[in-house]
Amino acid sequence: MKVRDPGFEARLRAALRAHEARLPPELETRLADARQQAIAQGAGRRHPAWRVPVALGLSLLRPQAVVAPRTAADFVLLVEDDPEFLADLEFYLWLESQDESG
Amino acid sequence: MGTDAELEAFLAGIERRAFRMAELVTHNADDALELVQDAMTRLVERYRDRDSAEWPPLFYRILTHRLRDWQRRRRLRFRWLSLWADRGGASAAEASPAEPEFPDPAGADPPRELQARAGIERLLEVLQELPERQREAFVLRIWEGLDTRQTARAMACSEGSVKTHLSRALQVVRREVGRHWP
Repeated sequence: MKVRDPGFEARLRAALRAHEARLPPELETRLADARQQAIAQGAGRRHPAWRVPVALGLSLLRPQAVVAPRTAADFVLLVEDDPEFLADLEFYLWLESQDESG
Repeated sequence: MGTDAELEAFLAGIERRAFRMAELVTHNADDALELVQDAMTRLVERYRDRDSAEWPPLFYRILTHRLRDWQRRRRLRFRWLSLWADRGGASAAEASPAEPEFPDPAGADPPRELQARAGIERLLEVLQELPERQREAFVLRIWEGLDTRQTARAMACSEGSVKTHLSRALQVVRREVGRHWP
């Protein structure tokens, strides 16, 4: 069976691009506001260098956690992309303990 | 190195697409907007000094991770709420995934667009039902137009994995919606 078909893929892309262009005006405005806020916030923030080693250490302390990423590398990526994950770790571990006891 | 003006133009160019991609996963405008804004913030925070050619795979790598994390958190929340509901604390309906809440931007569609809208709606359903990695490969390669190497970087996997996931996704998409775009 032929899977790759450039013409079909181009038609799908055109349909999807048309779909994304049909956003309600209210959402267009909110997206533009989100972009401006992202530029303002992102330009004013820097990633604290201590977070990744701390997160890696925590992941090695609890490698068996059901809800934790499977590898240390996954954990580092997750914390890099979402530093708040670290703050949620206590909740995740509590949740796991509820599963184990329940 | 990209300039601030180039960075804003890049974000303006991808924000609608990124929102629609996030919407496929969240079914919720507020969550999709928050995830897209967060991905944009992190791109600015970390990678504004990179060459502008690097921004697309970097942005989609951040967004992909945020969407995966959002799904993990949602599954956890669902499990917790289900447990609570089993103990009489909440109704199962509260824990169920929300229905899409988007208004139709155009109101009643002109008849000439009905067939196209039916096709895209079915395509979106099919994409929502795909396994996570297949959906990611499809939206990044077909919808966004990243090449295989960029997609592999965005998905944090090998180029071979991208090809495999895309091939499987395209088989399903062609089978399910091929008649709309013969």
